[in-house]
Amino acid sequence: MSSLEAEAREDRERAAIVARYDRGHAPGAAIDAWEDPKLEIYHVTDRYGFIHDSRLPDSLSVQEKKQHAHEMERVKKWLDMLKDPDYERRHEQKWASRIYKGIPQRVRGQAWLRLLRVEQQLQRHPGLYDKLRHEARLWSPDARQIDLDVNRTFRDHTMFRERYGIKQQALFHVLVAYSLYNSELGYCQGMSQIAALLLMFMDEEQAFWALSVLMTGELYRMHGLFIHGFPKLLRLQAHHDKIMKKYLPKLKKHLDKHGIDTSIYTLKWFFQCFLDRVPFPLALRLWDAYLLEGEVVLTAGAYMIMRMHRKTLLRLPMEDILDFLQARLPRDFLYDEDTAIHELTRCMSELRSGKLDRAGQPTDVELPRRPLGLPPRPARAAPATATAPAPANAVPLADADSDSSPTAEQASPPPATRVSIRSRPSSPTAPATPVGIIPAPVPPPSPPPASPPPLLRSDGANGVVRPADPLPWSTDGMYRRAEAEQRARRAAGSARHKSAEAGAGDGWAASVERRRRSEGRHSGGGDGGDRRVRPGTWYRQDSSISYRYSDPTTLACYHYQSSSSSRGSGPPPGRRAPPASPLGTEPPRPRAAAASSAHVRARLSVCLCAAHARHAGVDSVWAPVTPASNGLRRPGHLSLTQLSGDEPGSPPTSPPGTVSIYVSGSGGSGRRSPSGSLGSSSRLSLRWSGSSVTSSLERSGPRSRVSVSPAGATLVTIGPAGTDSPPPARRVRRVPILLEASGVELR
Amino acid sequence: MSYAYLFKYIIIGDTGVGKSCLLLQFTDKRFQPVHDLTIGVEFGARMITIDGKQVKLQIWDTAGQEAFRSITRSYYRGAAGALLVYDITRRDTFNHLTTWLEDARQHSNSNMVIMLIGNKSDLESRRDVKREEGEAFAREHGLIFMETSAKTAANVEEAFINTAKEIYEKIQEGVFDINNEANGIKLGPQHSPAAAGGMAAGGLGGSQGGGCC
Repeated sequence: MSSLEAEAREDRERAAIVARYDRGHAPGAAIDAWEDPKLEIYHVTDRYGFIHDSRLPDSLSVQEKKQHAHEMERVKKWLDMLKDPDYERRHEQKWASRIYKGIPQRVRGQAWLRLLRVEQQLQRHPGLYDKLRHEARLWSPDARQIDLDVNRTFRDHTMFRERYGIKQQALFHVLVAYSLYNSELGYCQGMSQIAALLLMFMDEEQAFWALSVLMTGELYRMHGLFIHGFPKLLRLQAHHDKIMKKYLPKLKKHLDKHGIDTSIYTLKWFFQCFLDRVPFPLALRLWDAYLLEGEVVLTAGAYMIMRMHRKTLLRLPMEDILDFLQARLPRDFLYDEDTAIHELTRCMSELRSGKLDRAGQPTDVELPRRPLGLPPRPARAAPATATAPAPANAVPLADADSDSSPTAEQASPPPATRVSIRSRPSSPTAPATPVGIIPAPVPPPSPPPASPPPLLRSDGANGVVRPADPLPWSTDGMYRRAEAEQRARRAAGSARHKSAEAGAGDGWAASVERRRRSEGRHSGGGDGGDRRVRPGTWYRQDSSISYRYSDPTTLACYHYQSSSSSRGSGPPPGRRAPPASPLGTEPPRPRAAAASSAHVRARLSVCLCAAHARHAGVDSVWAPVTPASNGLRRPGHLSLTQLSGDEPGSPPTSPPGTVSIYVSGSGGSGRRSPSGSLGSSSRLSLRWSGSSVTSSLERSGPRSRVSVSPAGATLVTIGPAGTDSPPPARRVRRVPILLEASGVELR
Repeated sequence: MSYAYLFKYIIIGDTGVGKSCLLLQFTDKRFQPVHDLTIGVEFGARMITIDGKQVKLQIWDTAGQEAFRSITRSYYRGAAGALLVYDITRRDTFNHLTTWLEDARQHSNSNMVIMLIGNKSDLESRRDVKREEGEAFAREHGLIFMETSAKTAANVEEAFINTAKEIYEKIQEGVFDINNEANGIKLGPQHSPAAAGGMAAGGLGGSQGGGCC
């Protein structure tokens, strides 16, 4: 800007200011709202930004003054501490004790970013958030629910008060972006409050990664709290019951007598780490501790509240107990924060000595099964089609394995379900993918012979019909982890294979447990990749990958594509595996050119005809493919939860109470048997509430069917397709199940 | 306060239809335009009078998001009345009634009285579901029907009270087994005072001094 322009501008501004003073405080004067002395908002807003119904006292109480002075002193210490990038490692105890004393509000944002290791996430995924945000605006299937909830999240806070205000915009975008990033979870009510809390202390992108760490980071794993069926919530609640029984038996009896179940009052405690259930300042202190310690704070915090208020609770009848816990405590906890936090630490050590500080082992269902990252945009998910049925031909069910010869099931009427297990060409020129972005597959040169039916996701309560998640995803990070794990396991012995054969689910659970036991306790957050990474960290399952679907009513088509190693690639058994990385977050490393170029192909398709499945209460289905002579060296694995019924209105296709599962598959090594089939030792396991059945397929099939009657756990029929053809496509709600088996190897 | 009967209610329906606002209007007689979203279940209670008898309504307000159905289902059992709510300005919430109804019928006792409620009747200009459609749906499925507005309080009292009346009539007819608490009905304590007396919600303020050590 030239100096002339600057001068002219200055003159204009000055003239405008003078004019405003000449005009005075007259009607029509341009006065910003915040300049008006009458504006009540400053008198009703507390230091955290919450707006109260009535005017707050003009001066602080003596105690508050003391508290603030104390906090100001600590700010200095904190600023020094935060300057040292390695403080928490070098002075672990001091770091912890200062956090328990309460992070000063002024530096809370910085401290939380440190605790959650957000900086590392930002460095590892540069630009990913912007991409996610951009995509999510176009086709996040959860936008509608998120919109409803943004409108109801912390509206009594200055930041979120204004509809469509800046922070509401940020909140919306963080949540829709996350719904794509972790598409298995999407969005669940309860997450909006957590994201909003983070946004009070950080900017949008930081809040996104902080949320991501909270959901899938080792220490927090809140994914399990929000995922369908709330497995972690149930585990924590069961544990809380245990603690109550042991340490507060009298109160427990009292609550039982009044029919107050743990699940009623602990839900928000665990879902949001006490947010909304204790006064906000105390909630912040609990969050400080939670971010430092993780899950144990939830367990101990719940015990702390019950313990501190046990006498009051014992005097109250049913309605008042609930009123007390849900409405009274958030207004007034009756104790100040320091007392409560002191009691919390006391409770933690009491639980530790009683070996009840940890709520048991997390189960596999609490962990994300699908890779995190930016999924490819569904072809038909143009912005306008979010609520419209997708065109029938858009679902790329044909796998990307374009050069495979058509197999029998491709030609058969329902071309629905195919699972591709295929090796990645071991070429060093594997396309480099941007970090954290899950690449779309190369489309097959020729379309599949028949167009598959549209696979729609009806989003129950919201009426959003979602297009099925469509595309094969490569899973580089997962895969390398699998390799590393495999090598480690090979070195450890072959015991695991036995367990995998006994039932893939059990085998895996056992291996996870084993792994966990050896892992011990870890401090710090993060998606797991940045520190002390071991081959095969918790959140993934290596040799037999199962996916649990977040929306059981729909079981859309999730298509994964995995690569496999061929023998000869990678370091020899026994050599220390390279550090693994979080799912889908690392660019693929080119394979060694020397690796065998043999391709391994295996295809497994499972078509579920889930008539009456709801009544049957089927819980999960696994279809492990055990090591076979045809080249499926390691078990493939498939998992489903709660199969849904037929489309409303269509006649049922299975006898009541039974579920039919069609299985067809093929697998084989490229050169030896190009159209190879599932090994004869392939087995199908079905598991549902309380029962399970495992059955071998009678022969490697083009198609085999197994019908089960879950109630009686009877295997009704099992056989190859020739003997039992599938029902006409239009009558069947087809639920394609896709399976990834990693580590397919040549034999 | 003593009561002759206690009825358990459950409020169900899609997310954002105004379930919590209805409850708040009924229990507190106020409207909070931006209510916090309900996660899991929340609870409210109020005393009403039917046929000269004191009846306590114990109301469970549930989360509407699909994912929470596995949690809310357990509250169907042991409910004597259900308020099935949709939003007259959003047709999809009306379209989902069938699935809600199925769920309710499947998980509740067969005598549960279900009241269909078209909420937000004050937003006439944005109406997307005709009153007649709601009536027809109710007729077809044997429900009582009412359009309400939690904002203006129109019909809110009536909705809760008419449901209670229906339950009361069923008790008089002997349809409900009042000795079975799983039906969501409880007889009041014969000698009431001690249990509910001094510790009503308002009385809690005094309990501070007695806090635990």
